[in-house]
Amino acid sequence: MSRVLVLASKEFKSYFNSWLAYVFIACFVTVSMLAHFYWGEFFGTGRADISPFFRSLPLTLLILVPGLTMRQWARESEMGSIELLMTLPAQGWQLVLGKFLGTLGLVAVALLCTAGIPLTAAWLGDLDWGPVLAGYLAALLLGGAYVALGLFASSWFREQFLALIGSAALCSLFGLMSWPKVLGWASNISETAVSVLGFVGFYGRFEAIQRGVIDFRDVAWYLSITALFLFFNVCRLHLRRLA
Amino acid sequence: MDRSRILSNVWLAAGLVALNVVLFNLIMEPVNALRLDTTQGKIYSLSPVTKRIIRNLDEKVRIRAYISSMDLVYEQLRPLVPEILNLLDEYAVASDGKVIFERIIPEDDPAAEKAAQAKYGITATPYVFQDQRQKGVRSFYFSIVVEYAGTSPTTVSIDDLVEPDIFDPAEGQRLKLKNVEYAVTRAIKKSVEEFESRRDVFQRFPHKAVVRTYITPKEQLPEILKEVPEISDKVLSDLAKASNGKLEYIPVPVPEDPAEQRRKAAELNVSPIPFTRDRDIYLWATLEIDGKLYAVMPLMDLESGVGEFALRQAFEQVFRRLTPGMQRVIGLAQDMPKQDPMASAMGRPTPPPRFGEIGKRLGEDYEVRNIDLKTLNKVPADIDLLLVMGPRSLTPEAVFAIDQYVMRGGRAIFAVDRTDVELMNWGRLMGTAAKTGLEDLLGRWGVTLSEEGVFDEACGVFPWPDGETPPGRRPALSDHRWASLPLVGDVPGGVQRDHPLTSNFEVARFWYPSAIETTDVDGIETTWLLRSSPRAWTAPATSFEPDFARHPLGFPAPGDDERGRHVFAVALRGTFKSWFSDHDVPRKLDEDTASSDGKKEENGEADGDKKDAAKGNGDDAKTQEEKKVVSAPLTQSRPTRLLVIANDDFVDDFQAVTAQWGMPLSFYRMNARFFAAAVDWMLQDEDLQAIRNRGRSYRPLKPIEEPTKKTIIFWNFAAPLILLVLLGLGLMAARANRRPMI
Repeated sequence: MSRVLVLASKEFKSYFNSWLAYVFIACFVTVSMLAHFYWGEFFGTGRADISPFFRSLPLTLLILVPGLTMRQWARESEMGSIELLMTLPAQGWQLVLGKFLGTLGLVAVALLCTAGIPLTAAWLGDLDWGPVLAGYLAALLLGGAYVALGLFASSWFREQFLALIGSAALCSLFGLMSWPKVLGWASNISETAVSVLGFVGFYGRFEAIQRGVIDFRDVAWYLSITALFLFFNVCRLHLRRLA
Repeated sequence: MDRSRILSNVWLAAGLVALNVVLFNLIMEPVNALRLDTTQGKIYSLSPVTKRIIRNLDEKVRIRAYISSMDLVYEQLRPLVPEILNLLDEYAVASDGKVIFERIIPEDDPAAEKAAQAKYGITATPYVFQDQRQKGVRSFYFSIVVEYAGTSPTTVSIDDLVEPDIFDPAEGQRLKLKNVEYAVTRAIKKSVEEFESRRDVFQRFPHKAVVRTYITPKEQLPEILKEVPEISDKVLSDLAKASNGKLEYIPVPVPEDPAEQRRKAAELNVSPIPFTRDRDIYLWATLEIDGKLYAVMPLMDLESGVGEFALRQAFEQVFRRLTPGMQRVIGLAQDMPKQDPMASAMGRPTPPPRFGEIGKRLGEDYEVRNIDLKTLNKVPADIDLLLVMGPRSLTPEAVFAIDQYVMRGGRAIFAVDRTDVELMNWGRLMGTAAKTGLEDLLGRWGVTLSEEGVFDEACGVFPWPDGETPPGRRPALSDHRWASLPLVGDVPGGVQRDHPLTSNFEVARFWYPSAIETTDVDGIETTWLLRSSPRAWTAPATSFEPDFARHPLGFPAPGDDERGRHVFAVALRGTFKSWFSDHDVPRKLDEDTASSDGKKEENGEADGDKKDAAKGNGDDAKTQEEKKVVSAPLTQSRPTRLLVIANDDFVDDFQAVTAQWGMPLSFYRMNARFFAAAVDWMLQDEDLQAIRNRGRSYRPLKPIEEPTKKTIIFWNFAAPLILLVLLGLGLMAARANRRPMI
């Protein structure tokens, strides 16, 4: 496990050695603040409620996370360093988990940078901290799932740009599947379609957790999808080694 | 192992793991007990009260959610549907099999749709909506039916489930869920009560009733009404059978000849319904109680046809109403508006009473009976709770009636203050001191209302013109904090958390309230419930005109030594002494008593033994004596409880109107919620009260000035970015230091 942590730490630091971490965090914080203070009318509603910020997260993460994951395997392939990586005395799952944790660490730092939002609400009113903590948990679970999907997509491409498109497409598939508008369209087809999309999609489950109800089924689904795509990623590395 | 074998193994492993993941989650899907509600007050979980109620049911409860498919439901309501369904699901889980829940999409199941309409009166309801992009009406199903023991259905409508939330400038009116648990548990309780009372209704029904139907034969009716004869025959035959001979059902055939038809109709006191130019139809039922015509009921509703449910409900309600003790009755005592003959001649309707909206709201749970304070001289004996709303200069007879109602052990809520404030137009506010007429009575029970109004730094906002408005122009309004609109519950120590009524109280905003002062009275336990912040003061009624140019809160504020807390609501419990035990009974009542045998009987309730003793004496002296005895008031009450709220405006219809102007200006919903909880508490339905008060959805922000808001927003944006830049610079410097020297 220590090898995983070393790899994760290396990935995490490498983000800060480039502009990527700074651009990602700056964009994330700016969009979150805009969503909370302006689009969500925090002061206009006059309530110690930060749900507008949480409601913006599925889309913000969906747009920004593929930008982080695109460089992972695709960049290694582009620069030819993947062959070097394969020769390391680390197993495939350790490489994948290291990259995953490194990237998730950056997402966590970005989320930490929004701490001003709940702190402001708590300073100005009687904030219910339960849904806030649940909201951050939901954001980490969603961020983790997007990172796993993005890493998997990235492992199939040699160009970063294509990896970005692939990651975004895969994340959107899961992320937007249970979006209310999509469910609305699906209901024109059949109620079964609505149930399937609601079950598979991330949005509905995120909404449930961020309002303060941590349901085992929602957490299990996020963790399952994350684990599944990390496993796929390991398989993909295995196939690469064989190639 | 060859390469292709390994390759296929990898694919197989990936497939099997994916299958396992999906299966695991599918298997887990029905398990809804593993959840953690992190909200304060557990607002998304069933309360122990509801769990106890549903586990103790004798029969099964079936909950059916009739909600249209998502494409038909209005967009803003769609995210709320899963929340409702999840909660209903939880009823089924928590009930140990006593509750069966099913969701029905009526459009997908025409048979269920038809049954819903016939059995429960459920139809697609037109819903008026407005958002940034559109405004209109959409019809869809959004109702829940709760049925106990296969009968006694109670409907929870969209209005019980959803209410407007904040107005979002980008998306228009947002909607949010009301307390769904309260609505559903209330429906379960109501259903159980109806089931029990239906069993009893005819046993306790003290009259002899005859229902006659006069219905045109099926083949002559338009298509939409063809089912009416059959349905009404079934419903009335069932009721007659269940009545043990107390209800007689007589279908009167409609003759062929039109002239004969009309003659017969006139005999039955019904009128022909024009159908075509040369043909009338008849769809009537008449109800006779003890040989007298009580009601003439039309058996059709042209919009939705007639349903078995609606018809059964209508008749059962009549029987229940006529059976004493079947439903709790609230007396809503207020000054009823007078009908102006001039205005009615010009076709103008009589203005509605001042507390119409709150009456409507309470009518969902109780039978609400309007009582005119101007003409009140006796509170009817079947009133379970009397609401004395905004009394002004009550007559001695009305005071006597209220006094004697309390002496009989009646419970009452007094919403009273001593200031009249009238908003003349957007420039003048008239404030005058007023008398309730109850000063002596409440004083006897240790409660005094201040003549001056309470002003508080902890106060709400209200729109007001900023300066002089040029003639013919609309005034420019902006929100101002008004010291005369105290916001209760928003300051520490403002709410009595140890009292069941206010243990979960959120917030209420009063309008020019009086202050309550209490004194100790033997036999009465007084508890303050709501009070102002320590920064409140009182000022005379004439100083209600705000001046925001000179005073930030609209009014001059005194120094610290004149400030302090003022009480807005008190609960009283115990035995109360009558004001009339040592004061004269109002003369008019005395005279009425002497001249009316009926009155003798009424007052006899107060003192039956004395009445009996006085009966049967013929000579004048004895008759005079009898008058005195009969009119003697009760002097001490049985143990009872009263609630005094030092404000009458806070739930009047003006507040309901301002609620439609949009949040956060209005607190009507909060105020009405508190008032409804007070009614529940007074009637001791503590189960419902506990659920109604659950959770806390209102968490206001501290009022802050515009520049402070801008500073907060700036630092929220800037602080993380500055930290990020500093981190970057720090890392760069560290890297530069680590660079190997060549």
